[in-house]
Order: sequence, then C-alpha cells, then structure tokens
Amino acid sequence: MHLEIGEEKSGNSGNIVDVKILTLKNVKKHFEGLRAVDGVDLTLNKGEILGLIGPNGAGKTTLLNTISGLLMPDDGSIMFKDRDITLLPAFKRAKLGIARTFQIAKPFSLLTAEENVLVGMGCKLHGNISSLFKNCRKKEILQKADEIINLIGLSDSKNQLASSLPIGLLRKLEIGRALATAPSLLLLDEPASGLNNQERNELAELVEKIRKLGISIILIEHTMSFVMNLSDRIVVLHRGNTIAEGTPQEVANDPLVIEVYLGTKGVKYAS
Amino acid sequence: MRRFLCIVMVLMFVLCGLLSVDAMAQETVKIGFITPLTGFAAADGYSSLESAKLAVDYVNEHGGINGKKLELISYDDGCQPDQASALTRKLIENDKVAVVISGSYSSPSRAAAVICQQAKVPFTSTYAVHPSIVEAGEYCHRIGMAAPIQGRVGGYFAARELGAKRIALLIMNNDFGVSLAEAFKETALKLGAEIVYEKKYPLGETEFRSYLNAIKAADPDLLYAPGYYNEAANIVSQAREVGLRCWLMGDEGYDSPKFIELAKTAANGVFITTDLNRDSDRPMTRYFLEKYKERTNIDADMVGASGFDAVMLVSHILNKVGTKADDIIRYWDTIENFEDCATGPIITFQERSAIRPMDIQIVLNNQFRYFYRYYEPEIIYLNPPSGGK
Amino acid sequence: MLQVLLDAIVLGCSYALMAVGLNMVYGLLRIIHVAHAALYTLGAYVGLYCLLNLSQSLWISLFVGALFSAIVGVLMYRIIYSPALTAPRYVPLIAGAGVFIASQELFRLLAGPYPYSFDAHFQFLSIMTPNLRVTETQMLMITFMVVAFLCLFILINKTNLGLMWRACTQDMELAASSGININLIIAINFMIGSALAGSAGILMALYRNSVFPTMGAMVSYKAFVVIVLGGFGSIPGAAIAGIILAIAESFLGMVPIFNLPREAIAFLVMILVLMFKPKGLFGR
Ligand SMILES: Nc1ncnc2c1ncn2[C@@H]1O[C@H](COP(=O)(O)OP(=O)(O)OP(=O)(O)O)[C@@H](O)[C@H]1O
Ligand SMILES: [Mg+2]
Repeated sequence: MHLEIGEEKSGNSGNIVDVKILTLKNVKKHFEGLRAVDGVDLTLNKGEILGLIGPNGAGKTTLLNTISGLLMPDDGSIMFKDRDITLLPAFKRAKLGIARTFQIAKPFSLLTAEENVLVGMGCKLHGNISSLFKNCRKKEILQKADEIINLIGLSDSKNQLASSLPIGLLRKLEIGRALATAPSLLLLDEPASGLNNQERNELAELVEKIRKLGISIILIEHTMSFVMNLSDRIVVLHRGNTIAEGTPQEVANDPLVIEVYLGTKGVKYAS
Repeated sequence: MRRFLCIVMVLMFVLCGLLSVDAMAQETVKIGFITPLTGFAAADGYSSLESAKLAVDYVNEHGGINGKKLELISYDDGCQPDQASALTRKLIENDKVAVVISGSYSSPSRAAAVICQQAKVPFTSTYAVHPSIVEAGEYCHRIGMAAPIQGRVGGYFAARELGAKRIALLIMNNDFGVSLAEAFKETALKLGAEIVYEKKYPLGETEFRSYLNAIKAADPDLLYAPGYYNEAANIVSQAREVGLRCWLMGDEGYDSPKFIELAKTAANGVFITTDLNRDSDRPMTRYFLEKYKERTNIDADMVGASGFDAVMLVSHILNKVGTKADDIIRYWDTIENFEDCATGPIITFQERSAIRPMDIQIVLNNQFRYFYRYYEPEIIYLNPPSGGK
Repeated sequence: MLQVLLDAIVLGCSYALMAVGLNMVYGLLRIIHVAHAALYTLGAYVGLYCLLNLSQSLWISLFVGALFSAIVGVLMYRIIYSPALTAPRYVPLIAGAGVFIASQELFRLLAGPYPYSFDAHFQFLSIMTPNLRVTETQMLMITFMVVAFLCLFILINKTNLGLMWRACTQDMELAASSGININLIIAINFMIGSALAGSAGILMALYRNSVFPTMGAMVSYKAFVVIVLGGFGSIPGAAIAGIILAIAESFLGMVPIFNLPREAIAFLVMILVLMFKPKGLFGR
C-alpha cells in the first residue's frame, strides 16, 4: 500500500511521538454572553488519539470549530506544528493538514461518493491556477481516490449519490473525504452517533488504521466504550472548561467527572 | 492641524456668505424649471434644460425682464411625480419663483400642475402631451402640442393625405403613447379607415419582431407607432428587417437626431407629426437650431425646442405685465400670434393649450425634412372655433 | 412561424446569458445579485469605447468588454457583497439594487444621457432565404450562446474547478473544511457570470444598435423571471428557461385578442410558475 496520507510518515506508526502537533492556549468562544468555550488549554502529540468528552452543550463542537477554523476564537491562541493558525481561515488550515467531520453527517449530497473524495483531494491542487482547468477525473487521481475508498470500505457504492447512502456508509465517507485532504490532524465529531454495534466496530477498526498512518486524532464521542477503548488520553469538557484530563482510567475514576456524568455509561464502564 | 481646519472652515463660511449677499444685491426675476436629469428620461431632461438656458441667455442679452435679469432655477425630478410635487413646492415656497415650467413627462408635469394650481402660481408644461395637465385649473398652460391635436393630425395625415385604409397601431404603454393613439384612432375611424391590429408595449421594450411579424400578417397600409425615439428606432429598423412594407408613422417623440442615428437607413421614409420645422427660415427657429448645436455639440430636438419656447413665452409675458400671478394668467389667455419661438408661431391658446400650425416631417437622406403643414382650424384647434363646423 | 421562432431564440439567448450569471451567484451565495445588470450595461459601454477609440474590430471590443465586466464583477463582490454576506438576506439585495441604480447614473454622468449607436462591421455567417432570414448578428448571438454554454458545461462537469464549484454550491462550510479556497471559487464564479453579462450587453448593443445608461433595466427583470422559471441556482434551467420565456412572449404577443404587453406576459409566466411549480422547471 502506497498511501501518501500524513505528511511525515513516522517509522513506528501507531506509536505516540513526543512532538506537539497542536497547542491551544486559553481559547475562548462566547455567543453573546454564553461562554461556550471559556479558556481551554490543550495539547496534542503526534500520533495520539485524544478523546474529548463532556455532557451535551459542554462546548465540544464549538472547540472543534475553533480548531478547524469555522469559528474564530474570541481570545487565546492556536498553534499547529509550530505555526500560529489562530486567525487563518478554514480552507488554509485544511491545506496545512487539519481535516474534520461533522456531528450531523454532512456530505456533498449531490455528488457521488467518489466525487466527495475527489473534492477532498482537490485540497492540494490550488497551488497553480492551471490545475483548476484540468480534467478532474484523471487516471492517477482516480487511482489515489480508489485507495482511500478501499480503505474506508466504500468500493461497492462509490458511484452512488452521497444523499442516497445509509448513515453507516455516510460516516465512513465523511472520514474518506477528510482523509483525501492528506491531513496530519483529524477532528472527528461524534463519528459513531447513529451507528449500530457492528458499524461501530468497523468504525473503530478504521480509526485504528488511520492512527497507524501517523495521523493524530481528536475524537468527540458520547458512546463511552467507543471513546475509552480508542483514546490514549481523555479530556473532559464541562461548561466550556476542562475539568479533567488523563488516561481513560484516571478520568473514569475522577470524582468530578462522575458527578458531572452521574449515572451515565461512562461511570459504569469505569467501575 | 485642527485649528488650521477650523480657520479654513470659518473662512469658507464667510466667503459663502459674501457670495450670497452679492447675489442678493442684484434683484432678479426668477422662474422655476423641473426636468429629469437622472433616470431613464435624462436625455430629454438634458435637451430641455439646455434649451431653456439658451432662451434665458437670449432674454438677458436683449434687456432681461424690464431691466432685471431673468434667473432660471432648475431641479431634477428624475421623472418621478412625487419628486415633481416636492420640488415644485420648493420652487414656490423657498425660491419664490414667478412661474413654474415643467420640462418633464406627463405624469410629473401633472403632479407639478396640481401644486401650482393650489398655490396659485402660473404653470406651463412644455412637451408633455397628456390632456389632464391643463385640467388642473386656470393657472396651468401647455406650450407643446396636446395629444388630442397631435393624434388627430396624425389621423388626418394617415387616412386623408396618404389614403391609408388598413391601419395597424403599436402603442407605447404610457400617458404619451396611449393618449396619442386614442386621438389618432378616433380620427382615422371617422375618416373611414379600419384598425387591423392594435397592441401596447412597455416603455424600454427593445424586441418588436414578434409584433411586427403579426402586423405583417395583418397586411396594413400604415403602421402608427406612438412612442419615444429609443423604442421607435428599434421598431423602425426591425420593421424593415422583417420585411414590413407599409407607411410608418410616428410622433414628436421620434423627433431627435438620435432616432436617425440609431435606426440608420431604416429611418428613411418615416413620417412624424411635430411642431419643429427644421427647414423653416423663421429667424427664431434658425437661432435656436444653430445656438443649440453650438452649445451642446448635438443637434437640437423637439423636446429642446419646446423648453426654449416656454421660457421665451413666459419672459414675453413677464415683460408685458410683471410678476403678479393673476395679471400673468389674464394676459396669457389673450396671446395671439406669438412669433418669438422656435416651433411654428403660436396662434393662440385654447383651453390653455397652445394652438399652432402642425407639421408633418419625413426622414429623407438621414435627415428630418418638411413634408406637409396643417392650418385648418378644425384640425389644429383643440375644439374647432364656433365659426367653423 | 419559423422566423418568429428564430427571432425569439435570439432574444432568448440574451435572457439566458444574463440569467446564467445570476443563477451562478445565487447557487453559490444564495443572494440575488441585482447589480448584475449593471455589468451588462458596462460591457456595452466598454465595448463601444473600444470600438470608437482602440480598434474597429468587434472581436477585440467583445473581449475587452467582457474582461472589464469580469473584473468589475469581482470587485463588486469584494466590496459590496462580501461584507454583507453574514447580514440578513435583504441586505445584499438592497445593496445590489443601490449599486444598480447608482451605476445607471454613473454611466449617464460619464457618457451622457443620449443613446449611442453601436456601429461595428464584421463578417459572419448569415442565412437569407425568402422564408427564413438569420442576420449576421443573430447568427453571432446564437453561436456565442451555444459556445458559451458548451464551455460552461464542460467546465462545470469535467474540470477540477467545476467539481469544487459544485461542492461549494452544496455546502460552503464543508467545502472550506475540505480545503477548497472558497474565496477563489467565488471570485472565479463572479468573473465568469460577469463576463457573460458583459458579452450579452455588447451583443445586444450590436443587435439593437444602441447603448444607453438604462439599457440594463429591462433585461434585469427579465432575467429574474427566467431564474424563477428555470429554477433558482440551476444553470441549464436558466439557459432553457431564457429561451422558453422569449418564445412564450413572442408567440403570445402575436395572438391578436391577447392584448397584453410583453412585460406582462413575463410576469404572468412568473406568477404561474410560482403558483404551480415554485421550484421552477428545473429546480432541485
Ligand atoms: N452558533 C451558535 N450560536 C449561539 N450559541 C451556540 C452556537 N453554537 C453553539 N452554541 C451554544 O454553545 C453551547 C455549546 O455548544 P456545542 O455545540 O459546542 O456543545 P457540544 O459539547 O458539542 O454539545 P453536544 O454534545 O450536544 O454536541 C451550547 O449551549 C450551544 O447552544
Ligand atoms: Mg457537539
């Protein structure tokens, strides 16, 4: 397999390297008085999977939006690979290697699955204007797209319109589109919501495969078993603040977290 | 820096004050003028205003109004009736003009007329044709040709002089086109012609081929298409293109050198009803045509001529009776054979509308040429005098 | 009959060229680009200027006019629409209308209120038979429209740009998150739409032999009727609806008892479409 995903492919893929890929300092986002994200500090190492959990309305999606650039933070700074990206627009961050999916699955619904992936691959094209006018279905491009489609397991339905795909495939397609941008950081916003057990397991496998490609991941999830199994580290967000951070085990035993999550699956899992 | 700016401002205020004091020192006789300088009718407004200024210069060179200078205060009404009323009010209340002249289309002129009537200030329209303008009351007059007269002249020419039996009408859908067409139709029917096609089109229309094809199928002897030159140029050139071979007849709205420029050779052979005779050797007509060209670098049109005439007539009256409204109105209705105008002499005013000989012009060799002139009272009078039939 | 049909198609070309630009903007930004018609007039004036001062060639004037409109179209986006995008939707609408009205006055101030004739000499195909006449200008308009739409079709369906453009029309946020330079795509979108409007202006100036400040007014609302008829945001819809509208106008205009002006026919069509097929003939 000669996938070129992840710019610096590390030799021991899958292992966390002690290189900070993302650093958030005191990031704030307020919606007219509502402190959705209220001074979050966060770091992410290369190759790491960071689980981001918290009750509904905790500010997880908002935080993700400030990282991907759909929202500009009101305060604080965001560093990505030693570069200050706090004020960069979303598409520039995507080019630098930050890809994302959405809480409510969001494909280009009038394009086929394959075209969705092709759009993602276009990310690297903008360098020269002339490439814009080239054929979008060149052989070598289609080949690369096929690799991604195989990876996400969508080969059978690659010519279907995205709007006609069932939710399970849609979640995978979103990841495929994100991977096509050749990211080094992947932001997944509740990728398992709406999936049944089997689909969820397939998704977990896919996430493992992606980690092996050397891509760091931030994973927002409500399904505790899913996030606890996959994550190397967990950050708990509550009312816009981080209230706990540590390995899945540590976090599950944190009294504050238990209080916040009183009676939820997460507690059961930990005990 | 700020102090410097302050000083400059103060200086400017003082200067402005001095200038206006200076202007006040010399007493003038003011007349108001509203005309569209913006919007779709801006071209007509421009002609109208430049011609009015030309007339003001003429008057001032020849002694002004009893020794005082004549001053023209003009505003842009954008051809909007609401603007026209507001500006007319401003002319009357702020500028205290003796007379208001409208160099605008029928609807704004009508709006202005109503205001003047209420304020008892003499008013005259220039080229606006709609009958209702002078119906506002005894303070309102019209210098141009009223639609009933012009339409009737067109009807006589088509049905009697050209002998057209089958007539098609393509009418611009506004006050101007519709009121002309009504008078034309009534006359033509009375003279025994038949209307074989009739259609209205909106102002600004540019595509007439489908109408013209239908007209061609109706096989008329003559097509009468009242409207303005922009649309008319399209009608005429497309008529020739679809192969419509009948007389084409228009109105004073065609009377602009632009009509010929836009329609090119298709304009040749088109008849129009107008009151500006470019072949006339009356000194005032020649003066107007030459000076207008000198001033604007464009050939004069009928719209301009009627603006010129309005100022000439008004200053004649002001010279005779002064600036009191009632004196002006009383004198106005007694005017006979007024020669100092660019269009044919004004014989008299009937129902406050100017009565004058009416011309038919034809486009030949890319120029408007004199073709026929009506003097018959039963044609050129609004209501033929009781001595007649 | 054939002749009427053909004349109608030529007229439809101008509607379609205008409506396509509007629909491209609507499809991408969901705003109604009222100032689009200003670019139609601009194209005509610039083309005329070229013809009078630079070169006698219609082709050069067509190119320069379209180019100029394209540049001004992009500037219009950057200066007027871009800041208004996050505001309620009537804000760009009103801003656009303001620009359109101001542009008419600007043309009048710069070039005077009188219409100019557009006297270009050029060689092109024409058909002259007793039953059917297609003048050189008419032939040029049809050819231009066909070529323009073919290019547009290929651009949208076959190229990288087209793929990204389609992606942007579906979800701008998602497109940005996928690394598409949305500013560039929007700018190119305005460029193409405006160039088409500018060329339509020049072709119509040639066809009508006149250029004047308010020439955009009539086509502008015809173009709105066309996009309602064709479906908001649909490009083939705009092309086909433009021609359908012109044909409907022309044939209904010929029915003697149907004594409505052409303008009324257009709005009648629009009302009927809104009543029975609010998404338009090709709306999605
Ligand atoms: N665009 C916005 N405008 C105003 N308020 C917003 C906006 N987006 C989010 N919020 C509010 O900010 C808070 C945090 O929302 P956010 O979507 O980040 O929560 P979350 O942690 O993702 O929750 P969930 O688990 O339900 O997805 C919520 O109270 C939400 O209502
Ligand atoms: Mg969320």
